[in-house]
Amino acid sequence: MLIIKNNSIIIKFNKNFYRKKSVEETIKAYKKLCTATIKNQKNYFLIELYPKQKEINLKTISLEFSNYVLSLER
Amino acid sequence: MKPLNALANIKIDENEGYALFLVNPKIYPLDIIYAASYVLMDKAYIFLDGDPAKEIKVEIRKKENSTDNVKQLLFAFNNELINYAVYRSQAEKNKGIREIILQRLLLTNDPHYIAEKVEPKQEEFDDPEEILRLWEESENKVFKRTKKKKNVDNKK
Repeated sequence: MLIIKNNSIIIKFNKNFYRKKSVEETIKAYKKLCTATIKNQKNYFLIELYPKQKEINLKTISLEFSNYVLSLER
Repeated sequence: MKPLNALANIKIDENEGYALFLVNPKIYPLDIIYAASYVLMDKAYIFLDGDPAKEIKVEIRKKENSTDNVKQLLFAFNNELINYAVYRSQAEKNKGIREIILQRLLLTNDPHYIAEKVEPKQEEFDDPEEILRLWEESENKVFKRTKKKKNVDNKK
């Protein structure tokens, strides 16, 4: 689910379980911490997160980000 | 990763702090999985993948501040699945009764229903010779109903 890069992290969300609307809403909620891009890849949304500050732990942010998206699916 | 249970649908990696398992969507539909995930969100990170029609993959990853270990989180998740599945099946069974109670409740508060059932309509009398008078008129003996009617007609 997580692909760690040098300055960013990519999260893969299966379209069958996560709606685009929920992802977009989560991006809005996290806009103070990181910027994000959405890409479509067959059955997945690829969300790439870039931290706004260097001291931010991007891995924790991305895990919390995915939990936030899931919570909106309920 | 070793399978944890005899069904071999759970794999756990305690060093990395995560567990993977498969859920049959015919036994636990997606809304039950969402509900169970929601309960554990403050203790674990949960990811869903797979095919919602055939097989759902669930990954549970322990949070750093969580006091529970991966196994405990995993079992808690499975218990929540059963909990919500039972709730759902009970809700299905009681659906008819709930609807009847709700209908009865809504009907009782419906003013039209009360007017029809509790306060039946007063009978209307035929009065071709216009003998009937209002109680107030007959008491005062001032106005007759017929005169009043004629006055009204003349004005028109």
